[in-house]
Amino acid sequence: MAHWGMVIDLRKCIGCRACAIVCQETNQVPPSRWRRVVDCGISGPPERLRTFLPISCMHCSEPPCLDVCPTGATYRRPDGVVDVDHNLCLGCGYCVVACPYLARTIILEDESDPESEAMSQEPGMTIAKLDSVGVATKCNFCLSRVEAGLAQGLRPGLDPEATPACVAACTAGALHFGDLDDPDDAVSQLVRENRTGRLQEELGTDPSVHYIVE
Amino acid sequence: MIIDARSVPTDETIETDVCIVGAGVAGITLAREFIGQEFRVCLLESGGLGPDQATQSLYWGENVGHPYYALDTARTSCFGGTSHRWVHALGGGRLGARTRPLDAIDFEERDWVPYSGWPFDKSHLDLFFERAQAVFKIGPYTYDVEAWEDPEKTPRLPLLDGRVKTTIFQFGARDTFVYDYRDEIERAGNVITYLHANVVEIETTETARTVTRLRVAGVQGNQFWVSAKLFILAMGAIETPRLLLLSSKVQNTGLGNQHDLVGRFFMEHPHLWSGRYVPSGPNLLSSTGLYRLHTVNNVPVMGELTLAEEVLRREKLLNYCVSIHPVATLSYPEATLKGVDSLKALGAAIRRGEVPDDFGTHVRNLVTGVDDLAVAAYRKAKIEVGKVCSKWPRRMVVFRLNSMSEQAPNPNSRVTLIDERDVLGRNRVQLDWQLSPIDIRTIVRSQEIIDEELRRAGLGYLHIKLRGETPPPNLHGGWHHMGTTRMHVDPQRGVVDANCRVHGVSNLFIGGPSVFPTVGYVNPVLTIIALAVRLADHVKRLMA
Repeated sequence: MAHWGMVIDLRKCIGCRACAIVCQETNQVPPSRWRRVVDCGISGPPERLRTFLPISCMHCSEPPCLDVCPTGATYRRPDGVVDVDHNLCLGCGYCVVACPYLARTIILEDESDPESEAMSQEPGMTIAKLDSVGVATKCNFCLSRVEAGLAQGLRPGLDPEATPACVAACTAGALHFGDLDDPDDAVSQLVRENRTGRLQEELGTDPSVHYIVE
Repeated sequence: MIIDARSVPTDETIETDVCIVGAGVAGITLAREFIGQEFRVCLLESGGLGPDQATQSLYWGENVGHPYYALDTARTSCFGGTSHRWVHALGGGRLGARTRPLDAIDFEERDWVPYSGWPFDKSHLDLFFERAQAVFKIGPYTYDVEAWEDPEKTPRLPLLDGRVKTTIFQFGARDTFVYDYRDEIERAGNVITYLHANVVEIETTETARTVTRLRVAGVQGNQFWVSAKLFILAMGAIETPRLLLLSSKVQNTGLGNQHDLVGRFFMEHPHLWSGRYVPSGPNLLSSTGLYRLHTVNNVPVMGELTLAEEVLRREKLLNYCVSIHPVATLSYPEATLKGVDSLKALGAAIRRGEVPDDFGTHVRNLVTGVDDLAVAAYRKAKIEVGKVCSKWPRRMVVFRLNSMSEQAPNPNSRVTLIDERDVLGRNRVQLDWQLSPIDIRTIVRSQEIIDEELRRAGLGYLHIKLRGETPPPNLHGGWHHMGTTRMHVDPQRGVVDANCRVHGVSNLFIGGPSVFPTVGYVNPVLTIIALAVRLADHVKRLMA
């Protein structure tokens, strides 16, 4: 069984937000809710290096959001993906508070992105999928793409169709997706061969998203 | 062939026939046009195949004018250039940019727009626009509304006598320049692309009439030279003037800057989310599909509203367009109705047993706002009925307005050098983006005219928020940098001539939006490609 994870190379991210925009479009969620890119500022002269931090659900091995869920709607799959059963979710918002990465959100009915010009075959006011309105939602590594790709014999992380939309859209090659348990997978190699870190590791969440910092 | 310039030995000289600096939209278009020619082409790109943090840092500069994006985030230095930042979601995970050709009036010398006028008119550029459509892999070269509207499903708004018109944009995907043309250029026998190759200086003869070679540096310390018969700068409207100003060994004010024009006339397209379109009825949403991004015959298109040429002439306005975006709420204060607000205020005061301070104003709003109250009552009834009848819309829709307009050429809006240097030793830039009163007046007056026409046609009205001539702080650009090496036949009024050659320098040309004398309201990419194709034709003739 794979352990899906992501490696983000901060040396390559230039903050173009393509990942956040295709996430918004693919998952029909308001902007910067499942995925956001934070401008962390710039170093002094002469380098003037600006660092951007793309953030989404970290798919923790010890997810704080899971422990506080009163209905069991939040669950962790054997492949490491933390997901939400919208049929069980009450929309209580405990998980939103519990997540230290601000990765969870509750999308309200008729919540729209007034500044979006995204393609819409059926233009309307509600952009969130009906089954996820009013309940807790979050990035699920585009599971539908990954699973459909696997069913076709594609390799997530290598074949764009089987890879989370954000990764497929990154022209900088800053985002990588793959099996962290496979030592031959590109993500494992990247973690092994670079200086990497994970956000708020001290909380013991054991995130599945690694950042290359140097 | 693509070569990493970091591997080029220091002091080596690369000899070629045509050297293009910058592998963005203009540079890629030029290089493609030269594939298969008898002459050798060298394409120099500052970044790699994709963007990276270190190369972007070379773009950092100061902003001292109207608030603008951090300069290291407003463009992209790598193969494909700023097309990496095109952010319109076209469906299926594709991202792209909208475009259309400039209008005929944009090429004219207009007496109410100082410094306006191109050396040629639109008909001269039409053939090149048509070729640009193919380069950009977008739809046919037609922007007539009839070609894109479906009278049944996506009709244009039935405005009356043509003062306000619908204008059509097509959308192209970023993949065209990011990926599609990479292999083609790499395989070309006569084109060699050098990545991570930063031009730090243009070297000329002692009279500065001919460019002899370019000094190129890698961020890892190596420096080499590129000599050519002909040079084309295609680095965008900030880096191109920067390089000219940096090249000051012979002309101490900068190459091509004998008349203090290089870097001046920086223009953007003022973008502003301001105001609301309140439609006459809730069903109008279903008949405004033309004005949202949708596909027609597999071409992504979108309609916007603009003013007729005769209106621009009569009112002495710049060119202007506005897109409309539905929002399913009336909770925005500026979209509410005065009469309704006053009724609520009076009701609340009466419940508290008080008389409000501005009682007279509220009564006047009630009397003059009977229509508002009727509309509000209708909407309320509609919402209530909608709750029990799911086929009816549950919310009234208003449209947010996103203006995108022309900026007038302004010599005080400019790019200059500052003392701080980047890691390659080049002075960084300072951008002083300056707007003029006519830029803001155009937005305000255009909205007023659109409001008048919507009312006359019984289609609703605009709630206009912006007034006066002062740029509001939320007015922003669209990463459209233009105008800093403007085109004019007179060397005292332009940096390049009608063939995009730098005045006074026999073999130095500029491709890209820095040569635009005026900019219309249109995203620049199609004009960039058209001018690049045109310049390529000219260069081919020169090299023959």
